[in-house]
Amino acid sequence: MAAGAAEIRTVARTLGEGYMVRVPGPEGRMLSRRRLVQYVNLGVYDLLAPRDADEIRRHRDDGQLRIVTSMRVRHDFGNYASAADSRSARLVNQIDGRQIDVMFAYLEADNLRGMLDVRAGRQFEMSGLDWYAFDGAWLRLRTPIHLGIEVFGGFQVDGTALFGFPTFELDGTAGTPADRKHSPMIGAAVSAVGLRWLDARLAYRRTFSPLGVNRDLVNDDGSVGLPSAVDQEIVSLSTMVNGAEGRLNPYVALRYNLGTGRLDDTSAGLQLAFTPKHLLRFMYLRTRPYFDLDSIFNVFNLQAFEDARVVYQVSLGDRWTLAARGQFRFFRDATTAHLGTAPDRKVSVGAGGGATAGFRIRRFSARLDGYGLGGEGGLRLGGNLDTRTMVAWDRVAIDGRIYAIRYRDEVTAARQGYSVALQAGVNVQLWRGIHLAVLGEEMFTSFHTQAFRVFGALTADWTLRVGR
Amino acid sequence: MIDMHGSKRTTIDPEATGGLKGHVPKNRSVMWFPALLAAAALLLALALGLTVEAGGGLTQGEIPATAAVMHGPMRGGSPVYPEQDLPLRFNHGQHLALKIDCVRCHTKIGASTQAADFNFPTGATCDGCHGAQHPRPASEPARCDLCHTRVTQTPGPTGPVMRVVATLRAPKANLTFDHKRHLDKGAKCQTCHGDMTRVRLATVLQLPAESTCLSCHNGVGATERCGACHPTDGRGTLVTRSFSDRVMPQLVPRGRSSWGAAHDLAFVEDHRGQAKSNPQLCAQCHDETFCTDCHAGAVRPMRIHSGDYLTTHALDARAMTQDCQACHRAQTDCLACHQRLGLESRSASAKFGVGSPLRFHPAGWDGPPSAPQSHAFAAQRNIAACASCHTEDSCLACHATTSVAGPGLNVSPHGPGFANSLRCTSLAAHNHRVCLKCHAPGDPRNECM
Repeated sequence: MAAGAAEIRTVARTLGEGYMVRVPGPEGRMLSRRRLVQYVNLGVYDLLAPRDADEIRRHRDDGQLRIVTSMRVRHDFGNYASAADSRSARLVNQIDGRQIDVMFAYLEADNLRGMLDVRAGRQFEMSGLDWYAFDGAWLRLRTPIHLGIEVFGGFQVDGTALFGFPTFELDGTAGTPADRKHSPMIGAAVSAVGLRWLDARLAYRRTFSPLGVNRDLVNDDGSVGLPSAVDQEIVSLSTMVNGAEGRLNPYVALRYNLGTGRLDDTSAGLQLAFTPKHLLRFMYLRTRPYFDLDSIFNVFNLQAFEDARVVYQVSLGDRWTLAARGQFRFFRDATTAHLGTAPDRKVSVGAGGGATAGFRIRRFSARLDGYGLGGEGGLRLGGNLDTRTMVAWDRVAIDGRIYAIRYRDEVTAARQGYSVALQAGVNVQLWRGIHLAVLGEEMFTSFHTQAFRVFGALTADWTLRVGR
Repeated sequence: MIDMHGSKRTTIDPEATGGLKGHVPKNRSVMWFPALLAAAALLLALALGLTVEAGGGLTQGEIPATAAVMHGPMRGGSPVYPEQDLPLRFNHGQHLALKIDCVRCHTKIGASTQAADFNFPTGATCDGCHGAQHPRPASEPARCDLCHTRVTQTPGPTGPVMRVVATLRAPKANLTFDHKRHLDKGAKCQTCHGDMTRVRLATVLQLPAESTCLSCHNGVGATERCGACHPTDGRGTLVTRSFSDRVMPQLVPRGRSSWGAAHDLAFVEDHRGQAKSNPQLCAQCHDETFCTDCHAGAVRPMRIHSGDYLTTHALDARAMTQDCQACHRAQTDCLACHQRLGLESRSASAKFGVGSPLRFHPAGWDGPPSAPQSHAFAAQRNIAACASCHTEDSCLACHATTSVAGPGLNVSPHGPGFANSLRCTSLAAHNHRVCLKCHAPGDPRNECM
C-alpha cells in the first residue's frame, strides 16, 4: 500500500448586498435590504490511499471515499413593512430571519469494487424528477451490461428545521403543520452507464405524508384518523443521444405525476452542431406548476404552459459570436365548469425573440443583447451590454454593464415604464484563491429617479493535501 | 422623498407614483414585433453562418457571464493550452526537408509520460548542428539572432555584445497526457500534430484539437471519459478552473465534443432541457455549489433579473416566463417576501389587492359567484402565481363546500369531466386529506362520484 494523503478543500464566501425596496402602496414606503450570506464549504477528498507506490492519487478504477459539505448562514439586517402573521411566522422567520442552512453534507463512496457508488447524508437530486433535498442514502450498482440500478431513501428536508432550507422542499403546504413532520421518501431508478452515445434514466420517487398529520381527521366512514398518505409520487424518463460523432444531440425528459394523473413536465430538444462554429437548437417545453399532494393547489391547475424555442449561433473567427433566438409561448384557457365564464380566446400566443453578439479580444470582452417578449398580458423590450476589461497583468477585471428594459403590463395599467441600470464593478484576485468582487448599480426607472445598489463578494478557495 | 441608508439611496419620483392612473393599453396578447425581429436575426445569422468559413482557433478571453461576479478575473488564452510566448525563429519544414527525424531534436519525447514534461529542444541540442552556442566558447562568435528574435546588441570593448533579452514561455498544457504510451501504441507524430512539413515555428495551433483526440478516444479504440485527458479533482469532476493558476480561463464545452452541452450565448436561458435529460453530463464539470448559487437563491443572475426586476417580475410570474419554481418556492420564498412587504391580503378591503395602482389583480378579478371571474383562468393555468401571495385559506373561502367546518361558497374549481376522471381518483387515492379540506366526511364526491 502506498502512502496516502487526503485533500482538503475549503471555500469561504461572504456575500453582501444592500438596496432599497419600495412597497407599492399609496404611501410608497421605503424598506431597507441589507443581506449578508456566509458560505462555508468543506470537502475532504482522497480518503483512500493509492494502491500503487508510484501513484500520487488513487486511480479512479480503484474506488475512492470523500466527504463533501456546504453550510451557509443568512441574515437580512433590513426592515419590513409588517411582521408575518400566525400562519406563517415560523416559516417566514426562518427565511428572512437569521438562518443556518446545511445545503449538503454527505459521505460519498465512488466506484467501490468497480461497480458501486454510495452517498449517505444530506444530499439533493437534480434530475428529470426535479430538485429535491433529502437526508438519507443513495446507492447505485453498475452492472457489466451498461445498466445502473439505483435505490434511494430517507427523509425530505424540512425548510423550517434548524438546519433545513426550503428551496428544494415540495411546494404547496410548506410551513403548515403538514410540513413540520418528517416526510419519508423512497425511490429507485435504472440508468444507462458507460455508453458514449446514450444517457438514459428511468426514475421513480415517492414521498409520504406522515401519519401524524392525519391523526385527528375524520374519515369518510366516520372513523378518526386517516391512513398515511402520499405527498408526491412521480416517475421520470430522461434520455440524451450523442449521435453523428457529436453533431446531433436529441434529448427528452418526461415526468409523469402519479398523484395528479398527468404528464406534468416535458422538455424535448434537438441540438445540431454541424460544424465547430455553428450550432442550431430546437426546444419544446410543456410544464405545469406542481405542488405536494397535501395541497389543494393541484386541484386548481388545469392548463399547461407550452413553449417552443429555436436558437442559432455562429462564431465568426476567434473574436465574434452571434446568436439569435426565437420563442413562442402558448397560453390556453377553458370555460370554467361551475360558473360558465368563457375566456376571450381559447389559445393565446406570446411571441418573442432576441439577438446577441459576443466579442472578445485579449483583454476585453463584451456581450450585447437585444430582446423582446410578449404574451399573457405583458410586453418586455430590452437590451443589455456587458463588458469586462482585464488590467494589471490579468489580476483585475473591470466590469461595466448597462441593462435597459421597457415594459408594459396589460393587466395592471400602472405597471408600465422603463428602467435603465448602470453597473460598474471590479473583480480582483488578491492572492491565489482569494477573490474580491464589488459591484455598484445606479438605476433610473419610471418610479425611481434614482436607486443605488451595492453588491460585494469575498471568496477564499484553498486546497491542501495532508497526511503521509 | 430621499432616504439615505449608508451606501444606498433611492429617490421616488412623486409624479410617477402619483400619476398612476395611466391608460389601459389594448389587450394584445400576441406581440408580433419581437417575433419578426427574432426571425430577421435568425435569417441574418443563418446567412452569415453559411458564408463564413468554419475553422479552429483559440479562445481570446471569456464572454461575460450572467453571474460573473462570483468568479475571479480570467486572462485570455485557452484553458487547455495556455498562451505561449516563443520569441524564436525556426522552420520545421526546412528541417524535415533535410530528413531530420523529430526525435533528433525532441530527444526526450519517447520517454515523456506527463504533459508537464519539457519536450522542447534545448539550446545544446541545436548546437549539435549549428555550432556551440550554449554555452558559447570565447573563440566562437555569437549568433544568438540566428534563432532568438528578441536580441539586443550593445557596444563592447572587443566589438558588439549580443544578448538574448527574452526566452520562451510555454506553460504546460492542462491535460493528462502520456507521449510514451501513445508512441508505444503506434501513434505517429503527425497523427496528432498534423503535417509539420509546411509549418515554420510550431505554436499551440500544432497541438491536437479535441476532435483529433476523439477520433481515437471514441469508447472503442480508447476511453471516451472526459477525465481521461482533462484533469479531475478529488470528486472526479473536471477541473474547469486551474487550482494553481486562478486566472486561467474556464474550460467550457464547445461544438461537437460538447456532447450536447455546448454553452452557447443562450445557454443560461435554455439549459433546462439538457440539465434534466442528462444531469450526469453537467456533473462532469459542475458540482452542487455551482447549481445552488443560482437555484438556491443567494446570487442574483444579472441578465435574468436585470434592472428594476422587483417591479417587472410580476410580468414574468404571471406568464411563467422564467419558471420561478426552478429557484423559488411559491409558498416559502415568494410568500414570505410578499407578506413582509405587506403585499399579501389580510383584510376585506385589501382582498385580492393591496390598495395600490400597482396591485396585481385587475378589475373583475373576483366577486360573488354571479360576477365575472377572470381570476379562474389565471389560476387554472398558473396557480403558482396565486400561491406566491395566498395560502390555501384564500381559495377555501369560496371553493370549499358549505358543509365543512370552515364553510365556503360551494364554488367548484374542478374542470369539466373531473368526476370519475383519472385525475380525481389519483388525487383522492394518494392523499384523501386534500379532499376533506373542501368536502365533508361522507360526501360522495370524495369518492369521485
